[in-house]
Amino acid sequence: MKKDVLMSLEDVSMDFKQGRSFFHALHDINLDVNQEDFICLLGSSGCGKTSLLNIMAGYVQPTAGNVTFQGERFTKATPDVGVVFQQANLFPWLSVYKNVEFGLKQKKVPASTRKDIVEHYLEMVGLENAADKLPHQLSGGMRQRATIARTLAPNPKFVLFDEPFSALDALTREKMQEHIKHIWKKSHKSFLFITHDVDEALLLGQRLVVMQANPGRIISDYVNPLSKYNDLTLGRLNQVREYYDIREDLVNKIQSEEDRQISRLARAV
Amino acid sequence: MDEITKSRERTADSFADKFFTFVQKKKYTLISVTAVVAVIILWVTGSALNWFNPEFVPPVSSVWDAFLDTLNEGYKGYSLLYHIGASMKRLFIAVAFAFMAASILGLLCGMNRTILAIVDPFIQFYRALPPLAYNTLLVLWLGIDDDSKIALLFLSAFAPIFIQTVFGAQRVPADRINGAKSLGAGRAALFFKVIFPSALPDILTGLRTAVGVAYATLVAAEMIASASGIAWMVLDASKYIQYPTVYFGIIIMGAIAIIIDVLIKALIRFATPWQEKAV
Repeated sequence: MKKDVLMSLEDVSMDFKQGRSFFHALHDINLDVNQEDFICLLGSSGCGKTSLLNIMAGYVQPTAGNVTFQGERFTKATPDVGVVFQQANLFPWLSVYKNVEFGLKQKKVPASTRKDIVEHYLEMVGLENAADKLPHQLSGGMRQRATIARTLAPNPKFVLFDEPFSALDALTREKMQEHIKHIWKKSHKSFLFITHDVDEALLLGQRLVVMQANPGRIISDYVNPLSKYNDLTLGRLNQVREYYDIREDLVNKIQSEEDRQISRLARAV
Repeated sequence: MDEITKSRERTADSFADKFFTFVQKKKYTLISVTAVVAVIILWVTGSALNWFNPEFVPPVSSVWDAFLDTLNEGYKGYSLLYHIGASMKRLFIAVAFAFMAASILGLLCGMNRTILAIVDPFIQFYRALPPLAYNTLLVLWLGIDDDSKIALLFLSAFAPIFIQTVFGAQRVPADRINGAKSLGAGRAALFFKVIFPSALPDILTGLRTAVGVAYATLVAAEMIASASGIAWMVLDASKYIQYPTVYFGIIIMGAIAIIIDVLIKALIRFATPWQEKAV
């Protein structure tokens, strides 16, 4: 095993029982997540992205194959692997401050240190003025930022994001994308970011992993050609000369053979 | 002079404004108050004009007199407050025990299907039974004192809290539990810090229903071998055809029920402020 591999999936498969038959959700997934990786995982719906996330978070065990984390067999959720969900899942009875503090309390971090850490992460996501508010008093974007602060506070080595910005409006999403990229650069953690938004993936990812359905499998894993441009924003993506070619290439990878047939037929009509 | 008239007009104006906004704000409360007052007026005028047979619907004055009499002299040896207190004591003890037992057992059952499978058939079996059907058994087991009465109220309050708690524990979002696990929450933290507060709004809804059901069961509880309690007073008075006493007893029981419900609603708002439109 290479030294800088953080999490490694070997021949991972996942079957779900569907009545008398089985649904083959994931097929022979091989994926190494390295230190300081920013992986964007793309694929059309039903390709097994969420199943893969549940395995990498330790919520479910694969039917076959091995998962190792920091060189050891990975069997259950740990504070070293943080998860940001599609919908903010803050505890509605706790203030923003106490939500962010929750993971630190579980880790038994002493109270004096806790305060500094919570304040640091609240400041990082720009919520220092909303610390005493309850989640239902926040906007969708603020809630998602609070979730990110809560996930980062216990200092996980690896953070999984499950389409975290898909429920946000376009402007908020753009701000959050810049935010997340900034946090990644500063924190030296590994990020795996699930999205179905091609531009979001091109903007954020250093590595692009593309999945296809039936059965869910990885069909492509490559370095994002746009990752060499350091200060890209969503608005300036299309000013990069090779953007359109790169984007079309990625869209082609995501589309299955059936999708392509349908679009060919549509063009013929 | 001019100044004074102007300022008077202004205050009159602002008073009218204030009154108008008050009416707007409290529109439905005012409608409720009006409806209640209308029924009382109907009762008073009906009695005055001999619309009702006074044997069946006694005039307000005789109900009021019976109330004052009982307030001064008590009913069958005990003061009115003693009767009310006796009922409230039974109700409170029963509901408090039911709340503790049913919420803990309900949370366990909501988290563990096996425990639920063991407990559920018994609860489903007894909760459909009318309390009067098994009251004699409770008296047989626990005697004719307060114990059997409290047990009856306990059983009637237990089922609603239990069922609502199981429901609440079962519908805790998977994302919330998974998220807590990823933040390092162990079994105990999951139970006390995540599942219990998640189910709390449902537990309190169950409590509200339970108090209502237990209160309705009070009549059955105080029916057998009793000489105290507000429900017993009403039953006893009807035996001796003292209808004014029956009337004011019922009015007091209804008023107490409304007060208890208001208190529980306040408790729910206080304990679960994140539930914006719960009650």
